[in-house]
Amino acid sequence: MPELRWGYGISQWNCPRREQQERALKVMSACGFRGVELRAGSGRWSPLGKADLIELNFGSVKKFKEFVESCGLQVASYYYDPLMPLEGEDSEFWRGAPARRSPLNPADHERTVAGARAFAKLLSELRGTCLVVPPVPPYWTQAALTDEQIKTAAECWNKVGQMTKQDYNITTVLHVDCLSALRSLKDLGKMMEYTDPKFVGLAIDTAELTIAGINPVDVYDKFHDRAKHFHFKDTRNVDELGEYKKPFADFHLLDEGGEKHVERWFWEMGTAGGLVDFPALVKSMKRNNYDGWIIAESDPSPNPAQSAMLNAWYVKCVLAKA
Amino acid sequence: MSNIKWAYMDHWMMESPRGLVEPNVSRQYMDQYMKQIVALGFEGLDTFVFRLLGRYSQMFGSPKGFQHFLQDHGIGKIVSVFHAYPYATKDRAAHIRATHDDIFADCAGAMQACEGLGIDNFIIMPTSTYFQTEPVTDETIKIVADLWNRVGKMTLEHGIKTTSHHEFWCGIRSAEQIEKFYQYTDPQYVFYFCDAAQHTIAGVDPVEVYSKYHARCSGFHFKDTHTVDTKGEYRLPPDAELMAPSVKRWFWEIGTPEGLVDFPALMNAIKRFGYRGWISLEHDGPDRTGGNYAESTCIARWYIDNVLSKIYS
Repeated sequence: MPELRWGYGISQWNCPRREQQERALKVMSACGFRGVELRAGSGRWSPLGKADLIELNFGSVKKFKEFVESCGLQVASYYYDPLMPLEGEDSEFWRGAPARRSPLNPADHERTVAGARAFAKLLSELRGTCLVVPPVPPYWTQAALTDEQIKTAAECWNKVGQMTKQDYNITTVLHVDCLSALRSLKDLGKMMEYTDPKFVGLAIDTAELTIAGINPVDVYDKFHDRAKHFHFKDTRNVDELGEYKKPFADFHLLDEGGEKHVERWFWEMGTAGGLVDFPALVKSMKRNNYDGWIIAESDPSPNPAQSAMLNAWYVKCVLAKA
Repeated sequence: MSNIKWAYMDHWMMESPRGLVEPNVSRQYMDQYMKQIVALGFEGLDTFVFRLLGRYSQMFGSPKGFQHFLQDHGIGKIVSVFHAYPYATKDRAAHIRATHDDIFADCAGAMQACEGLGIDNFIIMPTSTYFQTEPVTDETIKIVADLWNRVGKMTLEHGIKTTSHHEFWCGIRSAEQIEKFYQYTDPQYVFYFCDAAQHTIAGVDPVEVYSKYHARCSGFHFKDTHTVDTKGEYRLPPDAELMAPSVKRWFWEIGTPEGLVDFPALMNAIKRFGYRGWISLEHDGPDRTGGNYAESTCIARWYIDNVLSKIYS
């Protein structure tokens, strides 16, 4: 049985300076994590957000790779939202509008493929494995998806996935979050049915799915052959009021806490009152010989290092025995 | 079997709805604190006598109850307890012979309370603040040595070594004072405890001191510093460690680029002299400059795993 490979998401650290990046990576390494997931971004506050910024900050992608390795880690994956405008590439950036790369719009598909290509190439140079993408926009931006829309999005990801796999040996994985317009196991099933298993996999985010009212263990049991990537984090709350439907749900629900004033949605594994059944999930993953990365996350939390240590404790002292 | 086991010296602060607090305000916070230490592979804890007999005994019923709590979390042992009289008072001052009976009685009480815990070291600060102890003459050092010889003989009867930890702001701090102290104390009863940062701040090379007293060395506090006290701030009242005019933070975690202690050289010396036992990681006060204990502990552990353990483990 393959050993589970554990990584950590860098997204909760605010680390524009090199020494801050080094400390963040060393924290992960000291905790026993061996991979890091980076997040696409642009501008001077995202020095690791894309290839040209990495080159600006480190001289070359190769030097950045060496820097990560000197801290005891390797880059596992990138999270990339094609709808997020990138400074220097999208004129939408200056208006705060989504980039013209919607998987729901066939006219945008080539732009989506081109956007993903840059990250697949970068990941390939960094020896990463997965490009993590949201499969569809948030629900509040366009309401429930029709079957036709899911098919259209699936076509887009088939093109992206074929490109990333064939040209760069990078797997494109679809990451459903708690605001996604894909709202149920049935929706997910359709997306899996319409996408090509050779090119498109699934990234299961335990807390995001739980907040959306979907049990991640059920998702894995149903689609374990498609699951190529995981985000492990916990939550104490479900969006029971359906506030994902409200305008600007990312702000009103996640940042502001919604009607129930939830001050913090995402927690470390093992938190009191955590809703995710991680031991059951890990048992199932071991049974199915899961061999991809598991990225622990806790963003945002008051103290990233403390969160990494508590997650590490849970991995070593609870999940290792699952 | 490894030669070195790593312990953690009990300083910690964590966020709470009430701001930064010590974890000993609640058992839930203690649980979180211990999980973080255990996650990084620490197997022992150094703590303070006042805390073990005070707050920890209140929280967990007794010193033994606290030990059970630690063991339930994977910390097998309290390795050392630290005891000091930072400010000299009329009835507690190591350089005043008339106070020795009271100090001895305190130490004897601590030993009785620690009975059966398997603690290795009773770490003492040999004197109070420098400004209260000076002038530090030969006679002063002899008086201090007499106290710790007496205490050391008593603690050994409880199976615990009395071991001296030389704060840069105490009365036994320079190479000459340290040499006289170990000359006047009995090697059977008084051991040496190497705190790398304290020596370095005092302008003393910890590798040299350790090499000289390795046969009497019973443990280490591995912490670093970015500053040598070249202005004589060690002797300034009211408190050289907390209120030095020019230095806000003396102590740093090991593994920072600005660190002054040559830990690889110290580790090589430890290897050369065949030390086998505990080394305690310490970084007293990262929150004083906006850092935090969790991050500092990870940075230090990274340095242990990737640099020091490759030299000797």
